[in-house]
Amino acid sequence: MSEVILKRVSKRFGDTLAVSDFNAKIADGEFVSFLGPSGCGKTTTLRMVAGFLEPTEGEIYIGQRLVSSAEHRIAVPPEKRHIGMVFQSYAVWPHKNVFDNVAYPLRIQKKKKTEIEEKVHQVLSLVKLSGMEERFPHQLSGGQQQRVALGRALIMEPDVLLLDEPLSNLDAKLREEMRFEIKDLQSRIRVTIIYVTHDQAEAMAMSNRIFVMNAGRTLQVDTPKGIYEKPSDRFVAEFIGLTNLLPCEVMGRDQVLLQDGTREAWVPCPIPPGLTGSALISIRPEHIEIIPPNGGLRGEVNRAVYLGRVVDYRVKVGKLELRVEGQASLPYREGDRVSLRIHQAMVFTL
Amino acid sequence: MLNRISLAVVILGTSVLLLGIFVIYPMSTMIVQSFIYNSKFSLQNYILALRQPGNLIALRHTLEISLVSMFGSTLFGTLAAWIVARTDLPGRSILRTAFVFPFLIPPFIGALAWRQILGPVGYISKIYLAFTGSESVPWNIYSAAGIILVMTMHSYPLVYITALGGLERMNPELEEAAQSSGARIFRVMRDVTLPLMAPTILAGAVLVFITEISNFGIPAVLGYSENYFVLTTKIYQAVAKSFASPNALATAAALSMVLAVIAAAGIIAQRIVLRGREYAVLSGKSMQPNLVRLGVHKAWVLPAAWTLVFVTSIAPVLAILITSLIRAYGLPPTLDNLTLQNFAQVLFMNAAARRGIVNSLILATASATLIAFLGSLIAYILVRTKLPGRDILDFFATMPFAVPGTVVALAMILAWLKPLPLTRIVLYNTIWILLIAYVARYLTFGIRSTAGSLQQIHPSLEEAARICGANWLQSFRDVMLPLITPGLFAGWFLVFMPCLRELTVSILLWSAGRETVGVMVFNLQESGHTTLCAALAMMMLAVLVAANIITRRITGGRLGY
Repeated sequence: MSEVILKRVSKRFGDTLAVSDFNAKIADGEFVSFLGPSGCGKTTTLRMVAGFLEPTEGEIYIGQRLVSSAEHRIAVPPEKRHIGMVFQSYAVWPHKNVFDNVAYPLRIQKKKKTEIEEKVHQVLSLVKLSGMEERFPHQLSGGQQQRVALGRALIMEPDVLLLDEPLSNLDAKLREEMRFEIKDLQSRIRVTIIYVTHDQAEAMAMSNRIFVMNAGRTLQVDTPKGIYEKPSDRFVAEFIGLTNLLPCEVMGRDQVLLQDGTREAWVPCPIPPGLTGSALISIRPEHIEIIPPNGGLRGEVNRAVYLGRVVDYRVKVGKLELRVEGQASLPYREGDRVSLRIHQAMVFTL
Repeated sequence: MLNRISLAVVILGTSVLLLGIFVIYPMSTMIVQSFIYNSKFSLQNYILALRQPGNLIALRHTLEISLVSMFGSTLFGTLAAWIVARTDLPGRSILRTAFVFPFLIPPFIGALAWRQILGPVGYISKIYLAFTGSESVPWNIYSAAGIILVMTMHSYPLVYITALGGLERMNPELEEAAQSSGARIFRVMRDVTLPLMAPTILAGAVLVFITEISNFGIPAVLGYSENYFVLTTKIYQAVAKSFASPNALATAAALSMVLAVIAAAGIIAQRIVLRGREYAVLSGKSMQPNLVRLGVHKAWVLPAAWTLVFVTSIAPVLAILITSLIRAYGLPPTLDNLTLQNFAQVLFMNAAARRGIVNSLILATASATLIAFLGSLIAYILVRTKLPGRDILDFFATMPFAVPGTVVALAMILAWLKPLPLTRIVLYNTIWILLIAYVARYLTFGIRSTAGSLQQIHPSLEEAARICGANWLQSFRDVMLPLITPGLFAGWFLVFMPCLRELTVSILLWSAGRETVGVMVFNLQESGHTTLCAALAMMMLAVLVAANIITRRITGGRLGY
């Protein structure tokens, strides 16, 4: 159990800057996610923490120990970092059975046979694989292989557990199940976890904090709630959940002018200091209410898709089309003329 | 109208008929003849063959040299693959290709080259004698050791290619997992990399073994004159003498069967080893494996790697080149001793050499074209139909390449020695027997390359053409043909190249006027025309390199070396 600190970490591959000026202070026992689309630098960052890649610039600390420093030419190899890692492909060795896979880190440490046996059984029961010791990987399901990888990563009681898209090869139902299991595991053994994923629902469900990344940069670091409710820019707003992003004009300190092509509508919302002129407004579908036609934003229901609990409406307002989440009990149908009331919105620079 | 079923029957009928002529009849004739003694079925031929002490010694030699060069090739091939795939040695991308180069040099030409380098009056030998002032060199290239040396140099690429493929397909996360478990890099090699690679390396090793027991050129060039025989040269000797002793051919057939059985045993052993041990490993996203930092070890690994390349690829070509440009073999390679006369001789003056070049070009072109046709038919049956017995078709088409070339040649002799039924036409001692043997031997290359392209073409592409109103022939012409054309061309060159460099089969089937390049290179050497032999060999190498470059271009590097 340790804190992990990354200071001004950058990674360059030839001419491309894969990770740029990454800073993080991950507390002891914290669960953080690196979230972003593929190519955003999240896996590169994780592999730098693991020691498989060396930063071009910056420093990495695990616990109190400086493990990577471009300036001081320090590069502690992966095997000396005392880190557990679960790989996207699980990387369960096909020539070793479950017991030998999980026991491997202890064998490297030259632990006594009895100690290894006791420890392996303990870890296997933790990852719910008791009784499977003799099985070989090809006799296991994807989910079971996943647990073997997890057990192997946990058996050496690592300071930090790194998970690289560990659930992306599992089917949807198993994925959801494993989410809770990993979270539950962490609350029992209190290990610091860094979790890399491109799946926002996964990150939201498990993390204490999420690092949203794009094109090598950290865009926002916050709790799941903070990220969803107060996205720092249009990329985060669009990447996390659904939103309507529309062009607008900032008018004063607490409202914007929304132009639908034919008419104009005033939308009240907080304006970040210093922002004037043309901007973007972000309105989440659940923050729009459909009301009978009156003034304000008037439009016509283009499509209404019944989804059970809610209805996914597309409302055409002038030249714009807005997604609105409505209650299933609402009476509106396609072609109905309606008005929209906006309860909450955010404004970003273009 | 031609519907699918009747079309399949036409294709199947043609393939079976041609396979029968090219493969099934000759191979079965040889098997039957090996059991017939004095017009009766018996094991007498085998008993006679194995009773001769010379044959038993040849069998022992075959196994000895094949096993030793198998170990040598496995060691060098695996190390070379590891250096290229897993270390940070500078210039790895050049080494990657350079390690395969010995494959382009026909083994018997390699043997000739080493004779010119290390033989009693060879280039290195002369330097050694000049420096030490001694009377003779302390080594003898005409020996088991010499044969093993040259075989190893030519065969390590086989292990190298299989091992490199295995290392590059292996998911690096498997190794990274061991590393993050606390294992140092060499421990990772021992615990994860090597055990996972073992079946692949073993497969490569068996391939080397089968190649070596089948090799004729190297023991013929380096052992024949010293009466050091292996099975292939012993069979050659028996055939050469067959008109003196009536039973020689039957004995040779029995010896060939022994050779074929050893090869089959190798193939079966390989299947058993590989069964269920080829780990299908789900690939992760980080395909760039962690490289071993050689650090100070670069100082000796780098020269060692390039020495291997120099000794196995550059030195033999250099030796042949020098010899081909020299006025008389034995003269020092100084400027005033250089001449292009040797090339002019083999191209224009030496009638047999000239015929050899022309015959080989005709044979290689004809075989490649015939195989493109027959190979496509069989490939279509294998990939696109569910006909029962198509595995048997594949078996017969592959067999002539799986068994040693000497065996195929002997089968051809036994099958076509007598006149064709109802006629007085004898194929033996004509160019046709060479053509039939070449087609039989390399048919599998054509099948593989066309089958490869066919597999990549989803049947729905053809079906889409049919839905659009094209009949079978139109859809074949407009959709299938353009898509398999690159595969056909590649297959054509894949057959053309080995036909051009062929020696093992040709040496048993040639006759005066029906020489091939390989035969002429061999004969010129045996008759002491070393410089002419070198000039002819040099031209053969040039054509092979050119054909290889074309193949790589056509397939975008997928085929060729």
